[in-house]
Amino acid sequence: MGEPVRVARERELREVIELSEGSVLGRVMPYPKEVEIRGRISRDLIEEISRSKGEPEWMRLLRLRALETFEKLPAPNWLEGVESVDLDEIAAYVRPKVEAAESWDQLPDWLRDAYAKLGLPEAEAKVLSGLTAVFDSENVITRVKEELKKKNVIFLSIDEAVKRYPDLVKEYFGRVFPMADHKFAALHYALWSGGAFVYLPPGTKVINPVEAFFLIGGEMEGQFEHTLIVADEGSYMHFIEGCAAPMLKKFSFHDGMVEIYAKRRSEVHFTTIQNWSGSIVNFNNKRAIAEEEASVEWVEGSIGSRITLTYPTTVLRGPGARTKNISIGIANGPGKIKDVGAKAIHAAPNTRSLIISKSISSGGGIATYRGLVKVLRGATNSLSHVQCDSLILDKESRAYTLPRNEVDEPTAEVTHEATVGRLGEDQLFYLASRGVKEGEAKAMIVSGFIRDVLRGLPLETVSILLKVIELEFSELGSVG
Amino acid sequence: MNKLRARALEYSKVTPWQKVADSPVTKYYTDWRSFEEVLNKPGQVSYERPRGEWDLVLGPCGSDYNYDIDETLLDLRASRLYSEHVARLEGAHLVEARGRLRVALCRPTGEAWASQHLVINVPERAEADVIIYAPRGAPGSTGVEVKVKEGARASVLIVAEPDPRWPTAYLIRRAVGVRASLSSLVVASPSAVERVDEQTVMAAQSRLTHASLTFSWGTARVDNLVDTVQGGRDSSADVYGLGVASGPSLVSVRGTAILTPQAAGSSSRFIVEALLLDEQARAYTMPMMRIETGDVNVASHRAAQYRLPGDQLFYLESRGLSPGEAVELLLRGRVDHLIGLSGVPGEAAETARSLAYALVKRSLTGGLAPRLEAPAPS
Amino acid sequence: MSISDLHVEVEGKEVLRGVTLRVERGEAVVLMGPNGSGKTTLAYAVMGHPKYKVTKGSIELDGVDLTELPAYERALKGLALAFQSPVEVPGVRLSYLLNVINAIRVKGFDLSYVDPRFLSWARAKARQLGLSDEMFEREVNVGFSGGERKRSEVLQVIAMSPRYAIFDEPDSGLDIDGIKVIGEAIAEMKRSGVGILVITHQASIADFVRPDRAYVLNRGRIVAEGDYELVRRVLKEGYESFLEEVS
Repeated sequence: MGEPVRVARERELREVIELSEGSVLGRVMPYPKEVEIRGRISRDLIEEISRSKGEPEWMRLLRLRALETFEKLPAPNWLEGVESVDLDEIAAYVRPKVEAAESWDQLPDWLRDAYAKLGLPEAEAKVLSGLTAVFDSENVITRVKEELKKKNVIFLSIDEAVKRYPDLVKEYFGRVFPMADHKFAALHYALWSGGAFVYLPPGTKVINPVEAFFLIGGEMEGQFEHTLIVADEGSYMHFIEGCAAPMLKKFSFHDGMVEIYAKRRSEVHFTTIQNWSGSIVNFNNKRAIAEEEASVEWVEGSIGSRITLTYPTTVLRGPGARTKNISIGIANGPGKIKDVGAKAIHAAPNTRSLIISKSISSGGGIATYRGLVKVLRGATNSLSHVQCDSLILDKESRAYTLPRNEVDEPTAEVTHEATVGRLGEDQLFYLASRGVKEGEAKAMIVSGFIRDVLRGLPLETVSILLKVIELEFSELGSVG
Repeated sequence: MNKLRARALEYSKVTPWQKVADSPVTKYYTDWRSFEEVLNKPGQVSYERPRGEWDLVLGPCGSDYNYDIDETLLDLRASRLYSEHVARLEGAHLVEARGRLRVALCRPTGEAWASQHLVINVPERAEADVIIYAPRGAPGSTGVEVKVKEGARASVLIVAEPDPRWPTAYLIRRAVGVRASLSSLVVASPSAVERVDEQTVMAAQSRLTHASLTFSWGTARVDNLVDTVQGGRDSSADVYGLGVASGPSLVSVRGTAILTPQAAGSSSRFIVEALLLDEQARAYTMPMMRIETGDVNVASHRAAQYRLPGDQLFYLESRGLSPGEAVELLLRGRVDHLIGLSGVPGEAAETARSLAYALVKRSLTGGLAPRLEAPAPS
Repeated sequence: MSISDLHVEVEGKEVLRGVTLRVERGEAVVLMGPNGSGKTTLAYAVMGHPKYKVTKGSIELDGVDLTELPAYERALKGLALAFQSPVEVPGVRLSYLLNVINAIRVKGFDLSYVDPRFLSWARAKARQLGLSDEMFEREVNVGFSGGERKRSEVLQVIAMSPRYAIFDEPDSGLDIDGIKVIGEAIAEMKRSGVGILVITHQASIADFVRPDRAYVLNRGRIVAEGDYELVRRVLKEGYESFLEEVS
């Protein structure tokens, strides 16, 4: 081999070595930057929000306490992709005002096209695009409403619940997710508005999955919505929020929260499917407390938005409590980041957690799994298994897996597995020889990849989800 | 040394020990405070001759081979630990390795911080089988850099033996050049606060098989990080970490496997395990992957933390082994398996094995709480 | 080996409800019973598995009460069990385990003790049992087929030189040649004075190890006791009708 080639190779090694100077290494890569917080939220704004809602005194004080906490906490430095947050912009949006409803014709063509391709009738599409607050001519919805009424389930917008069932809400609001957990949780508590409140009386089993969007429509789609579910002993419910169809949002920073309190032997399934278009930064705070023998199952499907950060957490507080956490994240397109994951805290004996994460990155997107399994001393004979699989569809895209397993209880067994799959040229060529285009091939492989975690979801949700995936990867590119 | 040391000194004044918290609930797995406390402790450090027969004994107690170094694989801006280490070096030992080489470092002894550094270069297309013995009797840091140049093949065993009383850091950096291959094994005994900080950078078409074996007993806190950065095409890395903890100690076995956008066609397998021998031990595992390109060949990782399986123990007991004997046999089996995975050949494997067996024995004696085992299946 | 009125509980449920049976040195006894009757439970309880709690009754070996002793002491007192589904023991090679088994009996536990004569004897025995030299060096049961596991179990039991040996379903998973080989090995042990208990539900092994006596276990109790004729009858008529008749 000639000299110039040899020199070039040496340079490669040096480049590899230089690679290590400051920019690429695991735990300090990239150098973490604090999120820049611009503008401010004033006490007056908080007071105005509280007043316009007619809230009781304790809620107003909670908001003010949250604002104080927000100001004291440091900005997080682990949010990849989020550089700054503009509070003035948020303040402008959050100020109580009357929304003028747009018309169907004013919606962008691509959105109407997407709904057409998804086979959604215009009426339903109108609901999805936020034009109608209530949608009640669907048989399913009526059936669900009747069941809830018959079983004395409390299900209404949380703004109303604060006024109608103040003692009940006060007992649980803010007790599952502590406001000082991080800066944006505190911000949420200061500005929260909208969301659902659900109370399931003891022994109540709601058989049909409840799609919150169709029950209380617009209430669910706020920027800082807060959903609180209290499942009393032995109750059961499957709550579904969001929708697989693409949705247009006006805000750019979403900071929502879900608190679930699952009492002894209760079972709560919480499904979120989100496909927000635009340049939204979608921050989610989700946490559940599971008491003795209770079970909490999270299913999170994150498709849209520019950046989504969500880590549903279950605290297994009672013996025999269980949790299952399934997340699907699709980061399709340059600059798209899905930073999703799960946290399971084992704080009692014989508890079990199963975390399954499927992340898909394509077109330069980044899909990240970030998780924590913490087993406290005394959580004897607990079991935890995490399976995180990533599918990278092309060479521009990336996948990060960042799990942490902290086990202080030696009788516990904690295992974790992660595999990364890719769509190779060979597979593409093979499918092409069968007449399948690249976009279609991608869609096929993605649906196959996630199919096993879709069991248990209502058929309509699954079919829309699969159609959305088809659209997302088809030749027309990602929707929105 | 001047320029590099001067730079290190500057950085050490402004760089924190660690920039990002290790987890949402635990800030630092390494107890940085202990390091900070001994950093400027007054006192004298002497250098004792290490026991055993060696081809080269490096340091004031033996031959010097002491040079200025003007570059290092350590990222001086990443942690104060690295910049302090380099700033406090009086020189570094530079050795070219060909064929069989057994090297020992003089043992720094005393109560004040001591830093020492060894660089091993395996020249292009050479073959080398190296055993490095790094004993310590003082707090501080020992750096070992191994550079396997283009087309070379090397195996390296590093035996890390800190003084059990002192905060100690072993900073191990490996670079595997184009078409080079490295089999590597690190066996470390514990100290009160120990950080075994390893990283390997790999160029195109290089191969790495590596295993780290750490023990913690008594009240030790051992933090083993094993990072791998694959920066070239068609490279392959198989990395294993096993931490064995007994007594009220804590072992963390973690690391990040990174495949950069230039690492098309590469493979990465990363497995970390922590084995807990009794009711007081604790373990943290954190295998991370950052895949920066979809064009990878295979990438997977696995982590598990567990006790010795009760059904396997019962099986051995049914053959007449007492519980303690069954545990020792199973542990030896795990250790043998790990040493095999590292790929280091005959002599190094033998050395590692007998050392590891002694450490296994030491783990099992020394005030164990009631024997811990997983319940047998029905 | 004498088991008297043994009651055994597993996870709070009583599985054996008063089992009495005995095995003399140099005799082969067959224990039969339908699935779920408690045969394997008996084997585990006699060997001393911590999960199987003896709530009443006793287990004696040559007059020594084993009931309170841990498993390994029972093994050292001359009892050996060939498991029905032996577990994998990664990291421990079969040859190594055999070495240790030998070492314990010869000089006490010593992980570095290697007796070359014993090893070559063991290797020859392994071949006789149909285990290749390569298997001999594999990790115990890792990647072994069902039949290979059975052969490995028998090899280990022979290496233990027990006074009494229990074989739990030694013939399952083997073809006719395998059964012959295992059967002859067990028969050889019987001839050399070992008390043999063969647990089986298909009893094809009986063709090679002619049982002196047989028991039938059903739902945790011994429901019948007899000689070789009993074995023939159960095989011919099947358990159902036999058990109906007995009850």
